[in-house]
Amino acid sequence: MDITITEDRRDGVAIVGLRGRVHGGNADTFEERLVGLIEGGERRLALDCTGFDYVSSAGVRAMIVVAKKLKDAGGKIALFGVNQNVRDVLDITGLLDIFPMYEDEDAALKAVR
Amino acid sequence: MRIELKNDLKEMGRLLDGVESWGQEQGLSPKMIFDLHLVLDEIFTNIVNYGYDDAAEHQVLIDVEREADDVRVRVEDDARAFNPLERPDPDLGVPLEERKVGGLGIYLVRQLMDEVEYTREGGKNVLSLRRGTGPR
Repeated sequence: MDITITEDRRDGVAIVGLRGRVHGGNADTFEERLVGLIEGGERRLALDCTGFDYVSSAGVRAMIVVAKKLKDAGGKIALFGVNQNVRDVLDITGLLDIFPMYEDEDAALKAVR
Repeated sequence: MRIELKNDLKEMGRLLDGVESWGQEQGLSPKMIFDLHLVLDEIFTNIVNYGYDDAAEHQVLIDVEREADDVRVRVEDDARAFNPLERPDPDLGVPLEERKVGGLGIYLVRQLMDEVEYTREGGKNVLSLRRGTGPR
């Protein structure tokens, strides 16, 4: 299964829905989409991870690139609905501090506003 | 179970589906299946992306076996000699600006498996891995 990325907006925050898997075969697309949002002017991102089933190191690398871009631009990011398996990968690779995680959309929105 | 793959990332789906059905037949936990997926994805991606200097088709052989309370994985390829265990671990404690993006795949493999061993046998790289099926 590939990754499907959807975009939505609420209260000035870009809500990016991730559904599926990010791996070596599609991490570039994933990175381009998110970097594109930042370059397009988005500074507050909430990633909806409720359907985000799988991430490999290629996806982790892409997330680090996105986090750096956003930090340089003075933006904020938060994740919500992260499943335990994906959370474990982000934990092992030291991303928990870089990507704060919240239970639900409301909490994530509040954190980046 | 043996999976024979060409050195092409398009084979990834077949690899992951194969591991998933095998893991389910063996009654492995969803977490264990997720971790095996990830480990094989990382190893196979490394071989395909960095292992070969030519554009020829090569074969990567993956064997996955259950042995009592262990899952044993063996990956054999004819890529150039490369011992992934010699790579230093990435430094995860540094601030975001200084984070390097390389070396995370092998690091994940080492963290998720209980044993990882590399040998060079008859012109082939052989990576042997073990992970206990119990909770970690």
